[in-house]
Amino acid sequence: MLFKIGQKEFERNIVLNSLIIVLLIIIFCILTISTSSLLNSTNKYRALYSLIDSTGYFLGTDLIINQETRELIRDKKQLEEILGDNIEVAGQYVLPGAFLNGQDANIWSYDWEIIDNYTPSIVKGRWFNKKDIVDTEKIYGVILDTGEYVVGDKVIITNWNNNCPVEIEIIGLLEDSSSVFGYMPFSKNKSNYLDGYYTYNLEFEQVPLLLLSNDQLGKYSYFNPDIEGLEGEGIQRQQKGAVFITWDNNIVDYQNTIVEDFIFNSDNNICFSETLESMKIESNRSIIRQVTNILPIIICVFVLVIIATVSVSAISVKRQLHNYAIYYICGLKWKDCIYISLIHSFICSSTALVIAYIGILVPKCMGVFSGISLKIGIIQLIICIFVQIIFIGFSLIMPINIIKKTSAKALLNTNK
Amino acid sequence: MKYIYKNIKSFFIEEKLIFNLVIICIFFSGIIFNFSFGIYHEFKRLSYEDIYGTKELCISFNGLWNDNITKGEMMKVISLLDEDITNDIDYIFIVGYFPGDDIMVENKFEFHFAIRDGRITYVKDVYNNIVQLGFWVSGEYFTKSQYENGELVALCGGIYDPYYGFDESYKYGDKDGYVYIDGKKYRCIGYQRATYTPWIPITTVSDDFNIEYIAFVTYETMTKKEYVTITSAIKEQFGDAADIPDYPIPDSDDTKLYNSIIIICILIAVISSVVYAVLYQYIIYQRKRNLNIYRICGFTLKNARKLYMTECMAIASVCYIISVIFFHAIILPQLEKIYYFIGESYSLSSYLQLGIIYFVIVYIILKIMMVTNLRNDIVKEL
Repeated sequence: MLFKIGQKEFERNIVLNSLIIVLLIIIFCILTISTSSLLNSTNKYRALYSLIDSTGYFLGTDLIINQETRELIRDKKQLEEILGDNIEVAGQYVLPGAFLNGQDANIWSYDWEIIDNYTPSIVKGRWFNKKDIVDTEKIYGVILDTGEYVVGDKVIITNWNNNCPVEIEIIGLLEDSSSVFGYMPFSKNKSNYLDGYYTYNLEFEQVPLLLLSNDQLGKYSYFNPDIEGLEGEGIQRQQKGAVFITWDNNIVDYQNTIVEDFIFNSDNNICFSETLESMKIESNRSIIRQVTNILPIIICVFVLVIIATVSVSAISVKRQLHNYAIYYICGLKWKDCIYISLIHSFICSSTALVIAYIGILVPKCMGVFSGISLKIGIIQLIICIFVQIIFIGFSLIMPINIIKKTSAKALLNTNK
Repeated sequence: MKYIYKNIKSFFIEEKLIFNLVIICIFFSGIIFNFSFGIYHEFKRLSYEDIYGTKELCISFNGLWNDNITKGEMMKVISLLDEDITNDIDYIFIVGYFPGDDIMVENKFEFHFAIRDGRITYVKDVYNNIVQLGFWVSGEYFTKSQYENGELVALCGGIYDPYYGFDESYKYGDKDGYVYIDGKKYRCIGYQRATYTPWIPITTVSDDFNIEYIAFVTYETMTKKEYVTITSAIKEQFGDAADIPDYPIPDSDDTKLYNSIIIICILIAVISSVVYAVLYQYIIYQRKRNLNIYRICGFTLKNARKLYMTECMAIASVCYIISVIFFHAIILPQLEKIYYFIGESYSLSSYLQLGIIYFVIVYIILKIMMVTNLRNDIVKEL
């Protein structure tokens, strides 16, 4: 019964209610965009935070070798063996000279820790998951969206001599100009988390990028060729680019010396090294700078949302007080009138939320909003619901306040 | 006027809550309207700089007094570049000083040139640009042969007065159609006021000319091969003295952030309008009965609409002007600490333009409210 009255109230003031719904739709859209922007600007730091928050080094390498065997380092285990117990490595590897469908390409692979922590911007398909890594039937890859490939395509990679063809199944297409985990020797060092990222642009690079999982490659013998492999059997891998070397705080001194010897050894070509401690300090500074850039806009949006919500709920309630007084005279309790107000506000705000999210989701699925930071996630939804609660709350406080001070007769006289 | 004042006063007394909300709403939306305009410009500019930056590699030199950073050494670097790279470069821009000159803007020389078929040549587009920007005064621009053959011709610059012309007392000023630079006598063939110093062909400049800054501007987005080749050659030649910027590709996340903020600014402006619409819808709803009674007493529909419009406009203009003053005096100086370009967005004319846009929006909203709420038939209305 009360719900029906609430519904009737909504229909009776259809012009005002439509305006309120339009207003709330815009508010929800602004909140979703601004929350997405804020989260997006900290996304890269949050992805590497678990690694940066450790003790150790971040290295930008060009060439690292095993001093004893003079072999190139091709996976984390080899590097961990050199550096000793309690040392953990997570980094980027390259397949030097490898071809993709007979053409030049950049083919990189990552350790699981990197894959698990950071997902670059994927246009179609998906990023790697744990199942892909343990699969021994197929090798999976994520390729830059050049317009040539679709998800499910199979590409062939060959070694520098165009031998040893290996089939890779494409599971995702990477967005052009997006940040991928990586380090380039010509990158300007910033000494913060951004050193671990590289913007891959097809126009700049002129060749596509194929990303693979280094753990998965390690399971296939043709990705572990011995020195003779360089003569044509197998595809060579080497650690090159960004790498995190981390350890427990209780690392013994001599091990620290081993790590430092390794980093500063003249046989290794390490372009950039930074302790994670100072990287964390610089990263925090960088994040504060970025958030400071967006903060005035967020404050502005927040002020506007509050003003709009208060104004709209006040007007909406004021318009209905006359009717509430009539309901009261006809036998309804004030509590029920407040309940009607609640239903009315709930209908308005929920309709707006549903329309706003449909309005965002449908074009987003069609790729309309690809140029802006717009994601519908739990945090965005929570913030929208929080504003919806504020709106409903004001719609409740207003009649309670007014009703407390005046009688039904006075309300009927003042709200003719 | 008297009735407008009386009506506003009675609005304040009878509808204190709504009156206060209207004032707060107009005041804050005035601030937000102006703020979103500045932010829009800031991020549009950043977005433009990102796109433009992909075609430009600017290198400055820390050791200006280092004798090695000279035109001669730079030309050695440029001559090492492959022809396919030099052909992709639209033009090269060099800034520097003649040896012995004080390092000040009045002595700073600028050169725009291109390398075609291994030869230094002129860039005609630079002339078109300065004409478009209003920096061209008179005369002729260099010809291709003048530039390539190193003829002693100059496009004189300097401190220009539209009435008196160029200041002749200036060291590099035009003296009877000639200008003396680094011991050479150049014939002035044209006049520009883009720089203090004359523009001369780089082919006429001696190899010991000191370089402060060099920019390579490409036709299309710079490729990794071009970037790495140019920067490696410069690093090899000049070492740490060259301040080489990071590769010029903007991150798609940054581009998305800029676009998102631009959209937020537009939505904020829209939201302000909708809040007005809701508030004025309520005001007209409250005033409808009064206005209809006035009409029964002889007030025309036109007059009733005029009265309502003037009341709302009076409140809006007072609040808006106060909000603009508050924004300019208190908020803008704080924002300038965070946003690099925001200060450039505001001037008296931009405030006036924003004010006009603001009042046009308010006017349209009020007009719609009046047309939908105040109809001809008073009996039906009552």
